Amino acid sequence: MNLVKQIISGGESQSVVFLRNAADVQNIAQHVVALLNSGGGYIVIGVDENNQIAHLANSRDSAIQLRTQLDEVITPKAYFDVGTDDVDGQTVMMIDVPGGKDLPFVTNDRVYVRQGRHTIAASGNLIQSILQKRVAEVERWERRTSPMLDLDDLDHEEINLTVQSARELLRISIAGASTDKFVILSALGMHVRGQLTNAADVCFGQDPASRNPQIRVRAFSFLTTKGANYQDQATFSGPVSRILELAEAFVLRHTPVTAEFHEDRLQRTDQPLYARYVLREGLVNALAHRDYASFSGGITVEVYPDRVEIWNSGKLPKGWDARKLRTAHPSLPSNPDIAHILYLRGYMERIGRGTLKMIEVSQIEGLPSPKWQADEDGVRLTIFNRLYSKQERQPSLNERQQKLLDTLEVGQAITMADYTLGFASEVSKRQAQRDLGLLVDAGYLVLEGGARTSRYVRVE
Amino acid sequence: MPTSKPILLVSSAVFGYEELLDRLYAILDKLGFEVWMSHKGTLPIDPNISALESCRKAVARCDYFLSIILPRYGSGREGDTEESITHQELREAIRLKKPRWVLAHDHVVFARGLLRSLGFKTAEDRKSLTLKGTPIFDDLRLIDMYELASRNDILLLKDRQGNWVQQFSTDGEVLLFASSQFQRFQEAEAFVKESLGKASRLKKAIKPSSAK
Repeated sequence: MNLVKQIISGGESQSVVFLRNAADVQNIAQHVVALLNSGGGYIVIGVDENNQIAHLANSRDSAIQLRTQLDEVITPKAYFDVGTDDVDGQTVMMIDVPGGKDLPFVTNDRVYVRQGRHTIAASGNLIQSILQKRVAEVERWERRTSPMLDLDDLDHEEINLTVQSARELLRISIAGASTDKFVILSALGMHVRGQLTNAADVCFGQDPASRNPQIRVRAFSFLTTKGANYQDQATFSGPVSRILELAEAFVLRHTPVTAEFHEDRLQRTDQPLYARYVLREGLVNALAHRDYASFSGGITVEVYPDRVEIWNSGKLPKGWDARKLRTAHPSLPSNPDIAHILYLRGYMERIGRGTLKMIEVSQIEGLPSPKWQADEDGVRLTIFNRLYSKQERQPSLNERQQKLLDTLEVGQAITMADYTLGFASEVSKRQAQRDLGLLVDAGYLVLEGGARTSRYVRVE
Repeated sequence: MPTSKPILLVSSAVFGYEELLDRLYAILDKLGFEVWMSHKGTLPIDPNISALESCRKAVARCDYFLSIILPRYGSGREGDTEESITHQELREAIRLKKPRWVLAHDHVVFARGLLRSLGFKTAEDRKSLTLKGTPIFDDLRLIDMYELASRNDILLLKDRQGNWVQQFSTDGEVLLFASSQFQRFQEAEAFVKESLGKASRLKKAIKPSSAK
């Protein structure tokens, strides 16, 4: 089941809003602001009060227009995505809204928040509690101004490419037709209070490492799967898009192409070892979510014969663990200004959907699903290639577990009671629990919800 | 159309701080004030007089005055010798003894401290200096504004009143200060207004705890 279908089937909630059409822009802006102020979520346009999809005509053009209109009425500059999705042949418009960082966001001279299934104007007390929480937080590194940074230190071609790409991808028309770099950077939230920010340096700096050495990315290529000796290593710096291209090229340079011969054909078929999308998304996520404030942190890319490991010094949002990344989740980018540039450059397809798409693409390509691990120090992503041993990745499943996996589609969920009734009626309750626990450990299922509402969601 | 809401005039430079002012307006409006802010176009302008005169008149008419001393000195002055509109608004608010709240950016307080330690302690001393303005700090008269707000013209500290200036460095600190101060102020004012209509309730509220 695709993400949008999952969202619609879940109904309206604290993080999901349904609207019948896109006629009232001010009303939509209120919902966007409410989600920005309340941890993020999704607005689905083209769904009626009975959760039924009402097809939207010309929705792609409307989405582009709506994005521009919303930009004009929301303060401060916010990072969100308006696009269209197909669900069973019907088109809906989706606004993916990450949890905002620069709280409170306002529109129409009001602060809005989500309260359960409703969007409301925040009271004075609520605004104050939002502000108290926000002021207690340290201003994020990417938004701090960089007093040493001047327009001459930036790579203007990189800025032009971003504007051009944003226009071509119809993501936004940055600052109208202006070519003034300050106007463009202001529209991107990178020129604030008359000064350039650290994000401007990371995204467009000619030599950002001279001011911020921690932005460098290190890469290693190992000869064995154990990683005892490396055959090559490199360090990349420069604007973020260049780092991304260089890191990706390093991985591909150290990755052979596999060849398959088929009985019915004389020619061999060359297969890349990795799905390019998964590899790029993994690198993009590391660059967007890493902790730039830490001088000892960074990103390390390690290429092994059977896998790539990408480690970054970022942290998952409070209360999240790596399993959350395998389910539909609102986006909470650590560095929204930097993530926005990666999005406008087309390196990031849709906001907050990257991890699910990585799993989906891996399945389509017949590759093992990527694995995320998170701890105090950072987040490690392992992307397996075609050479990864099938024995290692396939846990031995019993008949009941195999039957469940044959029945349950990705995105669908099952409760413990339903599993017992439908698949494990002849074994003890404890054995049934063990079956599901092993499927969770193997990465097929994720446990969601509280004690009474817990359910197992198929994620692979 | 006249309203019964108390009028709060927000006086500050605008360029580069539009997002802060948009959010400040939304918060103060929600707290029940009629907010006069030039950035939002809500400051009454008389087309028959100069912009400066309009601003002075607005200061005279407002109930409360909030000044934000940013690292930008602001516009509206005739040449380099005249004070900016925000500077003159602050001067007028002090002269008229308006209930006022003042915030000053860290850079202004820092620059003052640095110049004092270099021997430039007064506005007169600083006149000998020429500053090539940058977005970090664009005019030495920002320090004059800070000293005016903290009533450095009154020599004895014990005689200074209304001289509190809240230092800030982030937009969030401005918004929190404003929402905290004006929410409490609104609550107190609402209580007094309600109680004035009920003399017995007011008497009870202000009766010393020892009295029976």
